[in-house]
Amino acid sequence: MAVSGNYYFAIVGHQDNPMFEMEFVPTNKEPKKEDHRHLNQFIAHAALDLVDESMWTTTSMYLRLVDKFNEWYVSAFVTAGRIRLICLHDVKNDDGIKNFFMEMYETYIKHSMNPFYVPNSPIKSAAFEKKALFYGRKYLTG
Amino acid sequence: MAQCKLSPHEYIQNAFSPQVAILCSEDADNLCLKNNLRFVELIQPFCRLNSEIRIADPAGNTVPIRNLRVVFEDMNRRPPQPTLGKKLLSEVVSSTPWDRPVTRTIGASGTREALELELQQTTPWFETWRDTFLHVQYPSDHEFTKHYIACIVVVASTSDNPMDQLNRLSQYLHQQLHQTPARFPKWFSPNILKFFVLLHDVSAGDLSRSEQIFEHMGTTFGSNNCHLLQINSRETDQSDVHLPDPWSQFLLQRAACDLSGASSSETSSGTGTPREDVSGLPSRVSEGDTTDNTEPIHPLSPTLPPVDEKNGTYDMMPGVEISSDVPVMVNRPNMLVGTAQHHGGCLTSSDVDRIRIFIHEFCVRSLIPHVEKQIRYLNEVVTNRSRSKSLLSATRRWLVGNKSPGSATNSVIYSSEATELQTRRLGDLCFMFGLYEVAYSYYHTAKNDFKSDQAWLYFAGAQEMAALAAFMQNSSDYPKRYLENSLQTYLNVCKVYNFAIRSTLLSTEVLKHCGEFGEAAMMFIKLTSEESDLLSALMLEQAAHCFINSQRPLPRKYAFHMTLAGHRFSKAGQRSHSLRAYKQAFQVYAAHGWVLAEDHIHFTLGKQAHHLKQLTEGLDAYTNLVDQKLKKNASSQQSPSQQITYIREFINIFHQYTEQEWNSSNGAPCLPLPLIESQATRVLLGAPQDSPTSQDWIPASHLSLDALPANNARWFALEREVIEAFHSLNSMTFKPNLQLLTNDTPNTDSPVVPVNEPVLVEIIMINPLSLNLVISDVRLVFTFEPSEGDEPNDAPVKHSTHAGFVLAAGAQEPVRLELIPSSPGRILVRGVIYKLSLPPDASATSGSCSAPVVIEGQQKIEVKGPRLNNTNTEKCSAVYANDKRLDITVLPPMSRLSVSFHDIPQIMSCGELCSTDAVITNIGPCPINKLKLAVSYPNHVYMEIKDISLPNKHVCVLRENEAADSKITNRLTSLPLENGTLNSGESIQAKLWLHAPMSPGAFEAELLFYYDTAGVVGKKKYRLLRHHSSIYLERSLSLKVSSAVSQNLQDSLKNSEDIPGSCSYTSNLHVEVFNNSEVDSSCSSYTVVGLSGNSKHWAVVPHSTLQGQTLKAGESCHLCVKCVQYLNPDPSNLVLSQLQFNNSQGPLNSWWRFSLRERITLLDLLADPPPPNPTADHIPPPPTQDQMDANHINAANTLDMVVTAIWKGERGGHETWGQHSVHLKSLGDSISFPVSSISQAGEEEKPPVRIIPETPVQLIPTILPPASKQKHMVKVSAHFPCSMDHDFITNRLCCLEFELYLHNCSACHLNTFLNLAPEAFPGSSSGSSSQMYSPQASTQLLYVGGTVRKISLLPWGSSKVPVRVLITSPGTYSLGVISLTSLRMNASKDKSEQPIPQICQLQTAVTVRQTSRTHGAHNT
Repeated sequence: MAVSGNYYFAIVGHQDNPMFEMEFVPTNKEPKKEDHRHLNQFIAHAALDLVDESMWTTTSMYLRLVDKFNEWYVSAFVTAGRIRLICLHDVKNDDGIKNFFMEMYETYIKHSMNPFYVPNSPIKSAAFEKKALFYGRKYLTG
Repeated sequence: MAQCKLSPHEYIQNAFSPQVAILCSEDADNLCLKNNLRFVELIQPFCRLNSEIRIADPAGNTVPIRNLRVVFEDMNRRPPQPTLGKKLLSEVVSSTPWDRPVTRTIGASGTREALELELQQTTPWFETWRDTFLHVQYPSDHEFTKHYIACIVVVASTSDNPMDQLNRLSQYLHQQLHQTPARFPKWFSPNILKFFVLLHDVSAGDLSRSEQIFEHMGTTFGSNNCHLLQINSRETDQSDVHLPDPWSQFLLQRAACDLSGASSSETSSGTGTPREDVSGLPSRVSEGDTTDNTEPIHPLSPTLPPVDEKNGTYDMMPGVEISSDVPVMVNRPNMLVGTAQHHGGCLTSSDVDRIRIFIHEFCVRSLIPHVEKQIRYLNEVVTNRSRSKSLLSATRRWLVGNKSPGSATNSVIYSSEATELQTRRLGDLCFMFGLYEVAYSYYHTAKNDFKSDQAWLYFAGAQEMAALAAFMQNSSDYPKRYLENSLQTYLNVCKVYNFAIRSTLLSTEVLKHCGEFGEAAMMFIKLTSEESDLLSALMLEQAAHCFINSQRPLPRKYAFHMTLAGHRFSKAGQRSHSLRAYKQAFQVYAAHGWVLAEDHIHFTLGKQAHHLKQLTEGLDAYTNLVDQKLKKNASSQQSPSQQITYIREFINIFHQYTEQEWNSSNGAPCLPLPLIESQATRVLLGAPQDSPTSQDWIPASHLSLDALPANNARWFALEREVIEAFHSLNSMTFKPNLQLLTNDTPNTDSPVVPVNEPVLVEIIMINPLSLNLVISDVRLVFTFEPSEGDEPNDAPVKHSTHAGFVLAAGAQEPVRLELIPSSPGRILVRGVIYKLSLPPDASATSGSCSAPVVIEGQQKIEVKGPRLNNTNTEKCSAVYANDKRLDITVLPPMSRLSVSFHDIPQIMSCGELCSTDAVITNIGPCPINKLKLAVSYPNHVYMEIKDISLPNKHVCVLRENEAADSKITNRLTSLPLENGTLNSGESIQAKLWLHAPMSPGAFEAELLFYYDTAGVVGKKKYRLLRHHSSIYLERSLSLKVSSAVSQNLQDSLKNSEDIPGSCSYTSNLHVEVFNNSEVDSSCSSYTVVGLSGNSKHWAVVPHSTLQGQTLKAGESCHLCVKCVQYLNPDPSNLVLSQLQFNNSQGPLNSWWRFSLRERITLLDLLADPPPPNPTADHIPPPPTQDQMDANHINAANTLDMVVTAIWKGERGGHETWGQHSVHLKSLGDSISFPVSSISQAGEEEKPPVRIIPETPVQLIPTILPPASKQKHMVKVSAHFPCSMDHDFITNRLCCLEFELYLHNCSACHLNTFLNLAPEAFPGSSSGSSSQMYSPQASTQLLYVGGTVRKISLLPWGSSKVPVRVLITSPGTYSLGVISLTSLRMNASKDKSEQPIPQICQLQTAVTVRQTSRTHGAHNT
């Protein structure tokens, strides 16, 4: 169902701090070289400005495409608690990303209910990673 | 912001200023060169008219022009070739200085918090680049703003024949004007303004001659077109006169001119050898000295790579062709530029004024009229032609339709006189002279014409100019789409990037003016391309500035584009700009956790700074890169190879930095790697215990860094007990004397160490990276301050060096470093210094196998105490306690104790006793006065110098001093010293007794030796020595002792001092010994060899001969002994009774001490002193009668005996001895030890947890023990013969008289009711008692006399009650059940309390026989 492409997903906290990052590459492709991993962070971070602008324009949490840089599209999702879910992708996959965001939102909410998790801090949970990987495979890389 | 110096209007005006060519004779230039300036440069600062002038528009209305600027250019100047132009641009950008960034707060918005950023207020390099960019552009045929509108011919009056020169030059000019095909220079129209200037050198020339020539000129060329300019009024270049130097700001441009002009003319003419400088100006001297980076480098200086002219692409623009026939005379002497030079040295202020007047005259009197004339002329041409043409164009437009640019071939070529071009020319002319409204209409017409002709380049130009004209006229309302369209056309259709760039520069200014920053940014970004790094960098940077300056600032976009700009700058070789851009971008990213982005920025920053030789900054960046402390996420996300790169770069730059910039007097610089866990630093004071020479002896464990962390709380508690016992210190002020300082110890006071004793500091180094690091030559950094009055010797502190090790990836390694102070003072350990390098394999770059770079640096060690939380301020803020573990006080020499033990066993059986020898030696230089020992379990550990053995007899009464063992209140013992001192080198022998506890498992025996130094006082001057033994205890025996209450009264045990006649009651003790040991334990069979009891009043007495029984595992034996009261006159004495089976005497003399110590109950060892008891101060209220009575009643049941079973076992061929003791508090108790596992299991069944708590049962507080406990208060015994003979024949009644002996066991005064013939008992008739032994028993028994008696019994008192019984016939009688009730005397008033029946079971069988004197009688 999903179109295969490269994805980078990040959850960004209130101080613009990345709480969770993950890259999804199609299973049949070689993983990208590590040299450009920082570019993902740069693009995602720069897109936050546009997320801030476009979140006032809609009532839905899913903001669709907010930014574009070279071959990367940036889609975003803002939770009720102003946690921002950012996804960089090089192919259009609106539905998949939307579903992915919804699932990750739910996963995040469940994780944040853990009393030992300090809100807005980096998520270091194997279970969370596993879920993200699962949904990434389900909705994004296919 | 990228605020520009110029407003957009000014900028646009400047970009399209009228151009005037200067044709200057060589002589004239030489005159000017006295001022270090050429003629063009001389007049350049004054080319803007400050006064307002007026110009007439085509309709004849005069329009004011403000700030008209005329650009004067050397006629022979050629725009540089593209490659050279690029160099020039990059030169300009790199050499422009910039201001300090300004801090600005970006307010919070959306999800973003407020930010404080340092922003570049202005971007002068961009402005200079922009100006230079426009300057080096080739004039194009489709527009006329770059074409010369006039030409000024300059000659000098000093030349031989100025008129001749003028003629030659105007001829040359004419030739240039009418050359075909048109080449450079470009002329606005064939009919340009010609203006003639005679330059007069006041200091050298003759003014009258000049005026003569000038008159002649006026007649020849027209007086309005001539000017006599006088300069050089000052004799020589007087550099001490500091006139304002208006020329310096144009120097850069001159450099640009030189670059283009000189190089092109030289190469093209071939004859362009620079002529010798005429006047020997100092400028020549400065060649080659201009090495300073801030100065523009001369284009021909060897620092620039040679320009390969042939590879230059000339033919980018039409008409780029360098004329080869430039006369030699106009080939300028090659000027060298240096900013250090002073300009205009020969000019006075009146000279400057003359130049101003000259320019003004030129403009007002010649240029403006000329322009007005031109406008009129062109207007006429255009209107005439357009009338005739309009029909044609309309038709064509109708035929072709409205075409949009896009599919165009740019094939339309106009002749220079074409109407469309004339319209455009007119528009340009009007635009340049400020007639914007008129210009707009012409541009608009031209635009439509060009569009219909599909001349897209022309169209785009006209459209752009139309938009700008509209903007200039009315900045709020202008056709924005014109600008966008023309940019699109330039970019996509015509592919003329230079015009696209110019268009962008202009339109972004317009957009910024209108506040449309986002669009401006987009426009800038559109221009970035792969080809030109510098251009892209500048554009990205401007875009970034647009983002941050828009109404809603976008700081993250700003940061991203700044980063991109920095990247492009670095690719363009603009290192300092790259550094700046990255730095500014980093402010947004800092400390948010975008680790990879941060790493990228740091790495680039480091690289650029390194290349720029800004080692400090580079080092900072690399430090950030490798420093893991600052990272939010604990571990670096970089791959190991990347980490190696980072570390290698870091080490290299650190190495350079220390060699070049670091001031070594400040000590070594700080290193960020490896991490040092400051808080885990441990300090050990004093040397470890020396190991004894002989093998069987072990030293006291004391303290060491290797040992497992000690339970400090216990040790401190022990120490506190010692100190409180000796110094009667207020316990609140107790601070332990620390010898091993860790993070867990209270380090608020400076630790002390005597001289010549080592201080061992352990530092934990952690390698957070995934590569190995080599650490070597580790030393401590410390300072030493000698104490007052002490002369420190040369090396007051000796320190050790750790040779080094490889710190593996992710590993942590302790490093121990030693300091030995040799004079008193204070040592402050500040940090650690070490050498760091990469392992050889990792540091070796490809191919080279040079030795790895080793850098030396230090790290501070800073420790802080625990967070305080006592006062309100401490709770509200994070306040930490002082931690002085690294601030060590060195004291004068002190005594030092060494203790060694002979073979403390590792394994013992529960309850086992053992003794070992100990030697206590003073190895310090000073004698010891006091030596104390505190042990954590005084009931299990005991040390004595001389042992006291007891006399081997059944009962010993222990006097007060011997019984002291049972009354120990603290854990302290004093070890007596001979003569009161232990001198240096002396030693004492002692015996350490251990009694293993009875519960199996680990047993921690803690011994704390306390000693002082003779002659030194002060609370901190004592020293301590610890010994800790951990002994494993095996299960051995379990013991169960139960006491039974006996009703009997018996004569008490007598001794010599006994008061005769007193009697005592007894109790039976049942002792059950069970061998609880496991089969495989080292000692599994035990023999009970004795029993012992100690009590105040009781002694154990055997019932019969007791036999020791050997018990194998799982076997048990029972013993029964009797407890008898022993009259003990002094309550402080203790009665120790011992029963030895088989006369076996154990070898352990001190066993009884542990037996006595079984009574001790001590408070738990707590580091904190127990909270002061609030009731301690006030006297408790006198006990009520009830309380007293309760105590008195309880006394009846008191046994208070420690029963000890002594056993013998065998382990490894050696006899082991041991003992198990239980403490029986009262009669009837039964205690087993250890508690049997079954009952333990039973205990674990807990009641269900109740969520709603039960309402507690309201208990009426009764102090008195329950009635069941009061049944043994009075004991009765009767003394009568077991059998008696009576002659019933002679006397029918046998009278038996005896006494009932009543004994009050309690300490209460009792009223006792004795009923000899109770009726209440069922089955007994009045006056008779029930049968006891057989149904045939006689019942003929009658009490006579008082049968119900009330007897008052004093405490502990006894009373004898005479009883008479009459028996009527022989037989065996029970004397019946005596009923006894007692009531406390005090309670008798209270009617509510009933007398409590006492248990009295008398063995009261009496046999009465018929005397056998007469058988007959008997038989009857």
